[in-house]
Amino acid sequence: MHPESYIRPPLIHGHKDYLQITEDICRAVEARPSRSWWIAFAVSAAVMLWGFFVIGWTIWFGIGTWGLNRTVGWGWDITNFVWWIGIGHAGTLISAILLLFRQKWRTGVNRAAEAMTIFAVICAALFPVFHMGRVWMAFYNLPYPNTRGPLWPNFNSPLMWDVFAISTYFSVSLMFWYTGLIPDLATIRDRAKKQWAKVFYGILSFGWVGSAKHWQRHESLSLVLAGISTPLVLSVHTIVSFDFATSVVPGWHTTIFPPYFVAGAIFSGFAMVLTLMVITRKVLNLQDYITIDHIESMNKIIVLTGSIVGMAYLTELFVAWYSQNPYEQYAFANRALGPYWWSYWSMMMCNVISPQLFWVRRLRRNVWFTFFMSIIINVGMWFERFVIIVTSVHRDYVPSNWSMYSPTWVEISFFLGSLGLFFTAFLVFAKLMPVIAMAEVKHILKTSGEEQKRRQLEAVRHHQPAAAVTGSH
Amino acid sequence: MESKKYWKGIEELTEDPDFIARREREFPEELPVDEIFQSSAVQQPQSRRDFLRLMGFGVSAATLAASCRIPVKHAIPYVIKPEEVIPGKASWYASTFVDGNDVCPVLVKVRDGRPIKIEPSTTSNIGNQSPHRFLFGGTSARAQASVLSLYDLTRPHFPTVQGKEVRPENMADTEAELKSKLQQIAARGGKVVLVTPTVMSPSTQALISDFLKAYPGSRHVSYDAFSYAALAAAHEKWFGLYAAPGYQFEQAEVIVSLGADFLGTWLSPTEFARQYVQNRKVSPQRTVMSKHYQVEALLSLTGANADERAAVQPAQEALAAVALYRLLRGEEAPSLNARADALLKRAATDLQAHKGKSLVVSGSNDVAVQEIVAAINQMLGNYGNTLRLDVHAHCQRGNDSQAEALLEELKAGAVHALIFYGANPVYEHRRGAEFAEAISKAELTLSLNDRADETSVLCMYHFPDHHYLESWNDCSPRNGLYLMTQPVIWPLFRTRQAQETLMMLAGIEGDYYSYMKRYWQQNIFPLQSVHTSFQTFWDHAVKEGAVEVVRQAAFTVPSVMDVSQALAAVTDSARKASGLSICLYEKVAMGNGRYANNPWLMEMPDPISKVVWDNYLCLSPKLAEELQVKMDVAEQRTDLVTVTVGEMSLTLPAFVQPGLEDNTVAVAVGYGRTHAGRSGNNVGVNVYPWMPFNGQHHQHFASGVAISKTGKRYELAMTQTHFSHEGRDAISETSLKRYQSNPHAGKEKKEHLKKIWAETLYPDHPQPAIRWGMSIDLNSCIGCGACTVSCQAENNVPVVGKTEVRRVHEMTWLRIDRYYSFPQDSGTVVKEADYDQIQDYQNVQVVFQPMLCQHCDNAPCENVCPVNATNHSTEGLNQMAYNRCIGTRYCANNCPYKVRRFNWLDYTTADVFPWNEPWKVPTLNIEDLKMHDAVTRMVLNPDVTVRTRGVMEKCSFCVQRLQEAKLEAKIQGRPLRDGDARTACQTACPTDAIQFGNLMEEGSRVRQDHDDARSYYVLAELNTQPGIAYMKKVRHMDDGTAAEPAHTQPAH
Repeated sequence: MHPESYIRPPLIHGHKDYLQITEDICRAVEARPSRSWWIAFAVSAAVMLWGFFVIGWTIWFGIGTWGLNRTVGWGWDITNFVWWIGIGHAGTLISAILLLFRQKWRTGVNRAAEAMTIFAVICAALFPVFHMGRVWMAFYNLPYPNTRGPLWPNFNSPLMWDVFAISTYFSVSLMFWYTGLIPDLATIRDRAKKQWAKVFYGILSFGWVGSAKHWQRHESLSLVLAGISTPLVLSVHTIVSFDFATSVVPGWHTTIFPPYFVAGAIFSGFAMVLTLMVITRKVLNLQDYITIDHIESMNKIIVLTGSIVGMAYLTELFVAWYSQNPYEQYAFANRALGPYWWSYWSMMMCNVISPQLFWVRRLRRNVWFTFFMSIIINVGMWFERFVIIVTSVHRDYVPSNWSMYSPTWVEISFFLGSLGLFFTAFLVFAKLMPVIAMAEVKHILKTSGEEQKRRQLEAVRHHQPAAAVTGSH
Repeated sequence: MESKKYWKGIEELTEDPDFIARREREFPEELPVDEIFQSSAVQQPQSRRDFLRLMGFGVSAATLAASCRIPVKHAIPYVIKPEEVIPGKASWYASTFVDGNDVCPVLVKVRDGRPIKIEPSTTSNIGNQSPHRFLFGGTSARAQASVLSLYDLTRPHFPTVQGKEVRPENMADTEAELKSKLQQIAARGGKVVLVTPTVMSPSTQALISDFLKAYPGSRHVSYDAFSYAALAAAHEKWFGLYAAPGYQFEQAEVIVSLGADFLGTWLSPTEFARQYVQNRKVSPQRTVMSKHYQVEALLSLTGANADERAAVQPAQEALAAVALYRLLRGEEAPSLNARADALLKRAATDLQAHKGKSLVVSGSNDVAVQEIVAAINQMLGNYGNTLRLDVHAHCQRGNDSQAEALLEELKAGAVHALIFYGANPVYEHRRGAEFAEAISKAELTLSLNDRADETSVLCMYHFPDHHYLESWNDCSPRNGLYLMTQPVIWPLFRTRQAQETLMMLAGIEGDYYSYMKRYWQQNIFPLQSVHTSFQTFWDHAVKEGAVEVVRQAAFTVPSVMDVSQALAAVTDSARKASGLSICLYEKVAMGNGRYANNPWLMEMPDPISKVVWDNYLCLSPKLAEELQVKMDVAEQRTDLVTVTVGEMSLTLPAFVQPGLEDNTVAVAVGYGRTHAGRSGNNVGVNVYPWMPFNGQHHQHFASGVAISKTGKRYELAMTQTHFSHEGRDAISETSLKRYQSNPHAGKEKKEHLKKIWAETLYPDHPQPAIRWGMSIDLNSCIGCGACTVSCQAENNVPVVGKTEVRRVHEMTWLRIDRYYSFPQDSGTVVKEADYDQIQDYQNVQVVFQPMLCQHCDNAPCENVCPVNATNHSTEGLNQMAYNRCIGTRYCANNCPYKVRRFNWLDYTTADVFPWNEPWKVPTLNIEDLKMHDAVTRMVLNPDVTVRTRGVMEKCSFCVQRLQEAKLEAKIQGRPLRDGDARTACQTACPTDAIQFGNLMEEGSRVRQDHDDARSYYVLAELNTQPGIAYMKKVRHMDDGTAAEPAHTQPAH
C-alpha cells in the first residue's frame, strides 16, 4: 500500500467501508434490470440488428451499394474504423499507462474504460473486414502455411501490419480486462442467490478464492499485461496512421501522423469514456466512486491531447506551405477551402477551439458541460478522420479524376449499426459485470477514501502534526 | 427474342419431372448418410473414434461443397475438327467495316468460330505511294465497337410480314407473294422506290441498276442522314463530277478548316486523321509541322486539335469562306469578329506561301459555300495535290432534295412500293414524323434494314439484313480502291443478305456471293494487270481485303472559277442570320445514330464534353450566365431547358461548353431513338426534326433559336468533372518555335531524375531481358477514343450504364483526359481558381492525354496490397492476380494516376452468386450492361479473365498479347522483334500516337521515344518510375499568341 497525503482530495467520497463498496457496485448487477435499461437495450439492439442487415446487404450486392468510387476508395468505412480504434485507446491508456504511473484515480474508471476498449475494437474491426470486396477471402490476410507456393501475405503492406496490430491489441486488451474482472466476478459469485448466477459467475471467475497466492499471481499478471499493453497504446494507432503515412497521397503522406494519431486517439477515447461515465455514474448512482475529481482529471487530459492535436493541425498547414510542394499545398488548401470545407471547419471547431474552454476550472468540473463537450469532441474526431481520408483522396494528383463522395444509406446504416453494437454490448456489460473494479477500489480505500482521509487527518492533528505531513508523497 | 429457349438435354426441354428433381439436388446420387449413421458402429455408445470419423466426414463434405466456388462448365471437343480451326488459336480474316461514310478496312479476329475483335487491316496490297494508304492501319471507335453489335440480341431474329414471324418453310411463299405484288405494281405502271443512304458498294450499285431495270418506273433515292452532299454538287457544277474530292491532308502544310470536323466526323475521319498526323509528328530530326487553322462555331474534335482556332457563329463559317477568298485575292474582306479576322489574315498569308501544299475545307452543306472553297483551293493550285479528283471519294453522294421530293410524292399517294435498304427516314429524316404517317400510303413497303428500326416496324415486309460480319459485300470508298467484306461467322439469327432479296425480286438467280464475284470479274479484274487468272485475283482480293486499280474518272479542272454569284449568295444569307443560332453535329462515337444500341459507343465519353449516354444542348459559359443556366459539374447536374427552333420545341439538358461561340448553341443528332434496341432506346433526344432544308440540301444550323429554362434539373453522366490541369506536371506542352530553338530541352531534367530514381535502399525488380514500355505522343493523339473502345473489346471491360457512370464507377482501363486552358491577354489561365480572370471563354486550348496504368517500376499500388494480389513481373509489368485480390481498394487509393478500377457490383455476372446478378441490383439497368446473356457473352475474349465482383482490375498492357508474341517468336526459334507485341490501344490508334515495345532493347521504337528529349514521365517526381513516357505536345503557333502555361515547379 502506498501511503498518500491526507491533503490530497479523496478519490472515494462518502462514508465507505469494504462492505459498502461491494453493496454499491454489485447493486446494479444483482437488481432486476430497470425499465430505462430495457428501453435503452431495445433501441440499441434494434439499431445493431439493422446494422447487421446492411452488412448482409453489402455482402449480397457488393461494395457498389456504397458511395465509394474510382477516386475515393475509402470513405465512411475507414473513417469509422479509425474513429472506433481511436476511441478504444483511452481504456488501454487508463488501465496500463496510468497503472504504471501509479495514478490511483484510474481505479474508478478503468473497468468501464477497458470494456469500452474491447467493444470499440470489435466495432472498429467490422469496417476493414466488411469493406473488402471479397470478404469471404479475408483469410488471405493471414500468414498461414498453404499449398500455393506457399504464398504469404505482403509484409510490406500497412494493411498487413494493421491485421497484426489490431489482433494483438484486441487479445491483450481482452486478457487485461478479464484478468481484472476475476476477483470481482468471484465476489458476485459468492453473493449470488440464484442458481444460474452461481453457475454463470462460478465458471467466469475461474475458481478464484482470494488466497494470497491468487492475489500474488493476479498482481504480477496485471503488471505484466500492463507492461505489454503500454507500448500497444502507442503502437496501434501509429500503425493505423501508417495506412496513410506510407502512401503517396498528398495529405496522407505525412511523417507527423504517428504522434498526431496517438494524441487524437487518446483525445477521442477520453471523450467517449466521459460520455459513458457521466451517464453510468448517474444511472447506477456511483457518484461516490466516479467523482467530480475523476471527471476533472480526464478533462485535463482532454485539454492536453486536444492541444496536441491542434498543434498537429497547424504543423501540417505550416509544413504544406514550407514544403513548396504544390500537391501538398493544394491538398491542404482544398481541405480548408474546397468542397468539403465544412468538414474541416467542423473538425477545427470541435477539436481545437472548443476543448480550450477546459482551461476554466468551473467548466472542467461541470458534469453537464463535460457531457456536452465529450459528444462534441467525438463528432470532431470523426470529422478529423473524414477530412484526412476523403478530402485528401478526392482531389489528388491528376485533376481529371477528381470526384466527389457522399455516403449511401448503406454506409450510414453500417455506422449506426456499429454504434448500436457498441451500446448493446456496453449495456449488457453494465448489467452482468461490475462497472467499477471493486477489488481495485477497495485497494485504495485505506489511502484515498474520504472517511479514511478524515480519520488520518484527525490522528495527525492529535499526535504528530509535523512529521506526517513531510512523510507523505 | 425473349421466348427463345436454350436447353442442355432432351430431359430439360421436355421438363422431365425426374430430371427437375435431380437438378435441384446438390449431389447427383444420394449420399449414404443414413447408412453411416445407422451402422452398428454408430449405434453403439459413441466412441471418440466415431466422433472423429463423423466429424472428418462432415468437415470434408462441407469443404468439398464450399470450395466449389466456380461452377464447372464442360467444353465439348470437336469430334471431327474443322481443318482451319485450332482451339485456342485465333484466325484472322480481312474484311471491311462500313457505316455511312466511316470506312475502315479491318482484320477480324475469330476465336473458335466467333469474331471477337476488330483490328486495322495490314494488307500488303496497297503501295507506299498510294493515295489510299492512309485508310489502312487505323480504326474508328465505331469500327472497334461493331463486333458487339453482331451479338446484339435485339437484332431481328427472323423475317416478318406485318410484324409476324415468317417461318422458314413459308419463306418461299412469302418471297413469291412479295415478288408478285411488286410485279403487279410495276405492271400497272406504279412507282417503286428504293431508298438507301449513299451506296459505296459497286456490286450493290450494279445490282440496284439491275433491279431498277427489272421494274420500269422504279427509281433509287439515296440521301445521307447527316449530309455533306453539297460538296459533290459543287464539284459537279465546276468539275463535272458528282463526288467529293479525295483529300490528301498529308500533303498539306497549311490546313484551314471552316467548320469541318475532319478528324472526328467529316467524310472519312479515320483516314484523314492518319493523313493529318503525318505532318504533325516532330522529332529532333524533323522540327517542322503543318499549321492548322480552324474557324468554327462549336468546339469540335478537330478544333480541339487546331493550332489556332476562332469561334464564329455558324452562319459566319460560310462568311469566313468569303473572307478567305477575298483576302487571297487581296480584296476587302467581310468582318466576322476580331479574333477570326486576325486568324483569317494570318491564314491567308500562310496559304499564299504554300500554294499547292495547302488545303481549305468546309463542313458546310451549302453548295455556294463549297463552290467558294473549291475556288479557293483551285486558286491555290491545290487540286491534283491535296485534293484529287482522279481518286475522288465515293461517300456522301446522296441527294437531299430527292428525299424531300419522295416525301411529297408519298404523301400524294404517288409512290406505290417502297423499299428501304439502310435508310431509316422515320428517325433520321427531318420530316420523320411525316414519313411515318405517309409510309402507309404505299401499297407495298419492304425494309431490308438490319434492325427493326423506326422505319422497319412500319413496313409490311421486313427481311432483316445480316450484320456485316455475316455477309459478303464490297466497298469502294475512293475511285480505284476496292475493299472486300467477307463473312466470318454463320448468321446468328434468321436474317438474310439484303442484296439477295433484291436479286430475287429482280429475277436474278444465285446468291449475292456469285453476283459479286461476277461483278468483280467483269469490272475490276480487267482494270488490273498483276494477276492473269481471275481466280488468283479473287483469292488474293479476299485474303488481302483490298485491291487498288487505276480507274479513270471524268472531270475537268477549270482554270478560272468565277464564283461571284456564290459569294453574293453567301454574303447575303450570312447577313440574314440573326439572334441565337443552333448547330447540329454528329458525335464522334454515336455518329448519325445507327449504332445507338451499342453500349460500348454509348458509354464512350464524348471526346470534348466527356458526357456519356446522352445528348445535350451545348452553350457557352457567357450565354449560360445570361440565361442563368447552371451546370454543377462536380455533381453532374444541370438545368433542363426548352429549346425552340422554328416551330418545334424540345427539352434538353444544358451543357456549359467553353470554346463555343457565345451566340450559338449546339446539339448532337443520333440520340432519342425509339426502336434502336433495348439499350439505345430513349437515350437523349432526337433533334433531326430541327435540321433545316435550304431547298437543295439539309443544313446543319439554324438561327432564331429561343431557349427558356424549365426549372427542372437533369442528371448527366460524365467521366471527367474537372476541366483544368491546374498547371500540374501531368501535362507538358510547348510551342513549335521553342521546340525548334532547342529540340533537346528537358533532357538534363530527365537524366537528373533518372539519377535520383537510382538512389534507393531497396533492390530493383529483376528484369533480365524485357521491360515492356509505352510511349504516347501527345502531339499525335487527337483524342478520338478508338483506343478506349479497342481496350474495352480486347480486355472484356464491362459497360456499367449511366447511373453507375454518374457514381464514378466506370470501368474503362484506358481513358482520355481532356484539359482546357484559356489563353488570355494577361496570360494563360490554367487553374480553376483563376477562372474569374477569363474574359473570353471562346478562346480555349485543349489537350488530350490517354491515361492508363503506367506500369511503374516503383509502383505505389504494389507495396500496399496486403495479399500481394498486385505485383511486379520480371518483364516490368505491374500485374494483377484477380483470384488473389480481396478488394481492399488500397491500391486504387494509392495510385497517383487513378487508373485502377474496382468491380463495385456484379457487372459481368462472373461471380458465383446468382442473387446479385445485375437485374437484381436495384440501381443497375440491365439493358445497359449487356454482359448477362449467353449470346452477348460470345464477344468476350477467351484469353482474358472476366473479373468478378469485388476485385480490382486495370490495364495489363494486354499481357495476353505479349505472351502470344513471345510464344510465336519461340515457335519460330527467333528472338522477339520490335513490333511483335502490340497492345490493343496501339493497334487501334489511327494516328500511331501509341508505341509499345521492349525498353531494354537498344534501338526499339519505344526506347527511342523514351530517350527523346520531348518525352516526359507523368508525376515523375513521385519516383514511381513509370513505364509510359508521354511526348510533349507542340503547338504550331506564334509565341506572341501562345503564352506558355505558367508551370509551378513542384519541389522534390
